[in-house]
Amino acid sequence: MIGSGVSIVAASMVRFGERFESSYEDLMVDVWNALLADPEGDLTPDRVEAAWLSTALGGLIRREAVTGASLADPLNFYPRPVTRIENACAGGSDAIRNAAFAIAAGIYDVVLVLGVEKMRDLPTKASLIAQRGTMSHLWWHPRGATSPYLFGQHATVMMEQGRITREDMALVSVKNHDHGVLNPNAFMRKPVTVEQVLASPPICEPLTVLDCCPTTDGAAALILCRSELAHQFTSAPVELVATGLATDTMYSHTKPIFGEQAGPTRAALDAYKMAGIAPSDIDVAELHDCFTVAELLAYEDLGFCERGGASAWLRSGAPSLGGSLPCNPSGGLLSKGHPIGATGVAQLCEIFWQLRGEAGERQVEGARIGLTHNVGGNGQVTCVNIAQRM
Amino acid sequence: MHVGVEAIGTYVPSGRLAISELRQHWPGVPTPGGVKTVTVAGYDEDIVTMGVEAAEAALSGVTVASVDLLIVATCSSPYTEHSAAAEIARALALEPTAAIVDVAGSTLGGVNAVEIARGAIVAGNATRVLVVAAERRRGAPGSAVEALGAGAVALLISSEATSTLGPSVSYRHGVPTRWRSESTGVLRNYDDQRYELVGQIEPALKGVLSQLAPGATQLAVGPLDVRSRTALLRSTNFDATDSSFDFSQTGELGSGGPLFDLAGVVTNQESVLVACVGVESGSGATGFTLDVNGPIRVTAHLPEPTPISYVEYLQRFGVIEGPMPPSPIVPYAATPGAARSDLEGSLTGARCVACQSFNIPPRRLCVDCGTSEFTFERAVRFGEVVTFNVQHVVAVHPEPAPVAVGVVRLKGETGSRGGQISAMFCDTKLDELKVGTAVKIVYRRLGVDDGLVKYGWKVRSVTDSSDEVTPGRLS
Repeated sequence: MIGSGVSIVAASMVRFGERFESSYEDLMVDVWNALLADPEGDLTPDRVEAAWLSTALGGLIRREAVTGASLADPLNFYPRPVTRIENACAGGSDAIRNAAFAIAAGIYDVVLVLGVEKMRDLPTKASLIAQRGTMSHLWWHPRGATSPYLFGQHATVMMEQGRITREDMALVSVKNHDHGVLNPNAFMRKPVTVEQVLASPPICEPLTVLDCCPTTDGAAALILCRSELAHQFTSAPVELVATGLATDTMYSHTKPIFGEQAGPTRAALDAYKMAGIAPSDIDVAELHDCFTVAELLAYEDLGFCERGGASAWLRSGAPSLGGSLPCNPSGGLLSKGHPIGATGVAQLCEIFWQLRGEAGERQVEGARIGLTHNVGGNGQVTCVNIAQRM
Repeated sequence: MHVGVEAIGTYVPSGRLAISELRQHWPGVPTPGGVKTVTVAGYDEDIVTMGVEAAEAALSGVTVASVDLLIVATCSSPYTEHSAAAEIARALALEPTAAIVDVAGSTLGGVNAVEIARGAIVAGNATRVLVVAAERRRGAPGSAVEALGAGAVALLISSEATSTLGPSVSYRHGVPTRWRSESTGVLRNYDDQRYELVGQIEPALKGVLSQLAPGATQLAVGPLDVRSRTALLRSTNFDATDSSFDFSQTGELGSGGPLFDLAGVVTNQESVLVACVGVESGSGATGFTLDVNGPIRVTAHLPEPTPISYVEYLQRFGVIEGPMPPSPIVPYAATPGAARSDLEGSLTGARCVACQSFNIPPRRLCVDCGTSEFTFERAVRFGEVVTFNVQHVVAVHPEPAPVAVGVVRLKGETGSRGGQISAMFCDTKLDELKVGTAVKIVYRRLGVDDGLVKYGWKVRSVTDSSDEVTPGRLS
């Protein structure tokens, strides 16, 4: 439990994808309107006291320096407080974490967490793949590395050690695309085969295009409140029971080891401890599969299987819908898409719907506890949040 | 079908270059006769923005959705390939279904655009047409045609107008005495004013006037300069022409010239028959008549003049560069930052006194044990690949893909997190690269930002014995 209890009472997201017809502001207004349109409770705009905005490229692409106001303005939210959280790809989950802390501290009763990103207005090659800004750490900027390398470097070592095969990575893409087909909000809603993944154009060998998440526009939002008030807004609130955040070394060359990540493991352990649960208690998880190998790493880093067991665990069917711990029923970043600042928020939206039994064709039956795993960089910052049906 | 001009808007920018200043810089060079200043577009103005100003004036009070064709005539579009008309249509909020046409490559474009408009309406392809003619040109420095005007004129043409446009006629004649090519960029001229005026322009003008319907009492003509215009009016017996447009303040306006003159002639006129003719040496002339029956709304936008020096004039055309804007890239390009540039530039690392970990690049707190006492050493030039990937997108321009990037453990180095570097690979057979491959560390270019070359260290596979070089010691 976080403080005296923090609950999620409403969730919304737009369809992720190439949203050329919508502006950054349009996407924010769309998710805000969808939250307020919830017919169940008495959520009105004036009940929301403060907001947390997650966006990563607001600064890099839009050259925004005042992004708190960029949420306040389109939503007519001013003069209420808005805090922007920018923590690389983990910003969405960190925004949830900080909003929850504000409630736990007794400062606010009801708050908005909104993640948004407009990435497709840039050429895809300039957006995430080759965005030097995202690699602007002093020792990376001039050294030519792009985002896929952050996980590709683990793939090389894991394959060298014989822990995973090229096909294992492809199978992650196949699984998550199969799940995404069932999600009307997903970007890439087409099944893919192992052969197609292997034959798609190489990006950062051994990763091919279909090992990489697409450059995506999107937004997602949640209303968090003090748990005591939750039933004013919904008959089926979900409690945010734990949050863990950890960092790791900034640079690849100061990693002592490849093929495992200390940061994600630590974030998960902290969250498990706060929730008082073990990995085996989790019913459904949304993992940060920005690249296929990242999901394989996550199985081990989060303790879903033992170190070195990712391949066998994947092939056992455990992380597929119908398995013992379905991972990425939403389609994950690979199929649903990865609008950076929105991703962590959208992951928890999916868990919210799963725990309320509202996930339609992709519903994980009887899900009671759900986890989100949201990684920035290659584990430089990781946030793990856990939610539970009340 | 009856087609006429409903309204005209004109715009000239506020900047003025005095011809007298030009004479000081280029003594002995002839200047445009009777021209006192030329209009100079601002840094933020071009034919698109000026065209929008003129068009807004012509469209004042008009439902823009009724405009179904926009024709833009210019010799100075900001684009060699891309529709300037599309840019103007966007700013004017024209319907997406409105057709856009660009007429370029000749100063006859303005008059030709009027004929295209008339023809489209007669053919039933359009009902209301906006014609825009605009220029922002420059002639060769130190030449008689260096100073040219900038401005835009817009005509709203439809069958609703009280005036009547006659069909255009043409007369091809002569050889070019003014021209501008992609290679020269500026207007050049055959420097013989009499050859140009009497040999080329006047016969072409007369060739058109002889074909136009008789009875025109006023002539609107795009002049080479004010004195030439006066001479042409006299030689064609139109010297009673009364135009309120003052070319002595603007200079020559290219494809807009005859239409600016037309605006000046019809201003405050209830009834007049005007011949409007564009002339271009070597091309000939094209003209039409406009029969005015009732006032045509003319809105002239004439901002307060602002004197522009010759230096600023040249800056506005990008001939000389002013103070360079601050580049947002340079702080990145200065990687690793001034404070560390010597250490990183020479591949010098910091050896932890407590745990011997080789911290590279140097840090304040040891990456392995956290203590802060170091000695400085240059790194060995050899290492082994820890991990790598072959990237098919390159972040360091202008290098071609594919390129490998990876982590290298320096030979014999100590430390768990220390003793390794990140690097791009060069001169390496990518299909032979493996974890464990021996590499040499070499000094190369790491890309260029804003012309600033960034130098630093890359790695390549070890190839021969000349690789057996150890770095010079610091002490």
